[in-house]
Amino acid sequence: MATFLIEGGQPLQGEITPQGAKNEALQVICAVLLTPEPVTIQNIPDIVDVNKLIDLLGAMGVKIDRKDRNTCTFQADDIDLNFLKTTDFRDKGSSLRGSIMIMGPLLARFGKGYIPKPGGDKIGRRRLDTHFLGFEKLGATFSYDPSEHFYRATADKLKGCHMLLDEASVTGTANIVMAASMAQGVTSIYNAACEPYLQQLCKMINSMGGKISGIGSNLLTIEGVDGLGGCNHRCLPDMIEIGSFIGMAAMTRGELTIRDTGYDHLGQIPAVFQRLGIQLERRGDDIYIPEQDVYEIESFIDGSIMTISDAPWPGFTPDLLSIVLVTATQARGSVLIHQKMFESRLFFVDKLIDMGAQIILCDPHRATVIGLERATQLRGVTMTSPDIRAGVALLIAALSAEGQSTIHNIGQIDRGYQHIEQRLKALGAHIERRD
Amino acid sequence: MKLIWIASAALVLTTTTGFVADRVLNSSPTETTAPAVGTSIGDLAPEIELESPDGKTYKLSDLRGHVVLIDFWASWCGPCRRENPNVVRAYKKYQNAKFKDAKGFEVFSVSLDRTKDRWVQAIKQDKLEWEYHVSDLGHWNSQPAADYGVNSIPMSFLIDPDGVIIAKGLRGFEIDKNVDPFVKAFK
Repeated sequence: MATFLIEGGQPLQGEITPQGAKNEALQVICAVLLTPEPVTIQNIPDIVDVNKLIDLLGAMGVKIDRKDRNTCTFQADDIDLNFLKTTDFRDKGSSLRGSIMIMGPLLARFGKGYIPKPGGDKIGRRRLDTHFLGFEKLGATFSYDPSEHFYRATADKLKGCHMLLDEASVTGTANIVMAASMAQGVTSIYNAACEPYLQQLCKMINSMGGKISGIGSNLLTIEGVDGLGGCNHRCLPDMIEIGSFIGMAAMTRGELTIRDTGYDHLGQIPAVFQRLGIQLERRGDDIYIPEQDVYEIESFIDGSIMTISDAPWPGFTPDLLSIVLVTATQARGSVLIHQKMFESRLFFVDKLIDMGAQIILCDPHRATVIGLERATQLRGVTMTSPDIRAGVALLIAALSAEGQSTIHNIGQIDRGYQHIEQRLKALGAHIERRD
Repeated sequence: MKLIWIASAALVLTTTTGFVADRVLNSSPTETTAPAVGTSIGDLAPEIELESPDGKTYKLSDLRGHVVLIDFWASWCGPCRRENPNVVRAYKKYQNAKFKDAKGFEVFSVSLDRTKDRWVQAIKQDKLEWEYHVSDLGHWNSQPAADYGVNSIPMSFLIDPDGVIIAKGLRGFEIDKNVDPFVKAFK
């Protein structure tokens, strides 16, 4: 099991370019199954989860031409549907949550889809009902074999309909949009997720010849077409990485320029970090964070304690709450972090408390952070990364801490962040990987 | 007391009715507001002003009065190159057609190329014979791609003689389906 050794206290300085967005890549890579023609995707992040999905498509018979680590041409003209019933597929698919999104395109194109029960983060119960209810509305019949952990859906021909989603699930919306793209007639999805990466998927399908309107709103209208063609697509920069770099710069008292951020797609993210008192400046499409000794958390207009909570887009993304939390540990002032969407992502604060942070874990959803104002530094400790986001939050804590920290189970970090230690080293971090 | 109540109620009623009548009378049914600039159907297409390979500056708004297909493509984009014969076919079909409520049909090609040589070579190879070819050679970071939110190509926007987007992402005979209604006669 790989480990990071980190000597903390080094300010991060210089320039960094974010990787392509993981959550977009997982969607648009699944969408290559919608057409027999070649589809080229650029700015793909070179990370474990995405590479696993590419391997899975390869095993299904999709031709993969990886021009470089971030550009790949896919051609799904000869899919082996029987592979979907094999234990090999079950093993590959179940370790990757993104793999659920191959079901929609398969249903659209071949009228059937199999998917093993997917894995992913250990962050509470992940429901997949939205996907399957959506497929059923489109006319698919769906079955689940609990003994084999296999989901199966079949449909002679999907038919467009109106549906109201029980929750604005991103992967659920993506899956249903892909299934509906070639259904007969018009599908409208209300309470659809509308975050930038889903918008990217819809735009990509339109580029392939699809007819999706309402992109960016929570009412998507999809006019089914007979077939889709190839396209060239570029993934947006990863907003989670951008938020993480903002947190790292502030925590380590660094001075950082984050290049090509796709600023217009960042929504609330810059504003939330500014609420922690972090100065950041938009320079074209870059974000510049100056060196800051102290950053002071704003209070509400009536003087009450700031609350930062997550919400479906255009609210603040849940994936950055742990980063905000760790960044607040060195701020001046207090903040309540309220994780509304997931129930067990805050347990990692135990490790921050071990490091000397002042945090009250109120319940599985809420934690109050009392900023140390750099009066004392966090202390380096040995810890294990429980999931991707907490892993990076702990990494940020370790980068700012006094002394050496050891983070075990960094495979969790590698799942989401590309070559993270080389990139941090280039900014002056003292970080080593030990296998 | 009762009288005062009735009088004030009547006053309120008159004022309310008067207000409603006023609003109805003042809104003219012929009054239309210009659409806002945007990239959805019904929006005014954002301006594009860029140079052609021979250094001539073209503005999208100079083509007002025409039905215009704004076509985002690049020499390095295989699917775009495969779609090009279809754009050529449509261009030829409408080149000599007689239009109603429009001066004609034009293709305004915006390339996301990086190098001029490849761009020019692809125009020649694919016989894209129309006049309007522009690019800032900015690849994915080119200004029109940002303005139109284009991260996937091929991508096209069809605009009416007023510059309003009437269709997007046209492939194959989708162009004809949307342009034919503007045609009075084919020569």
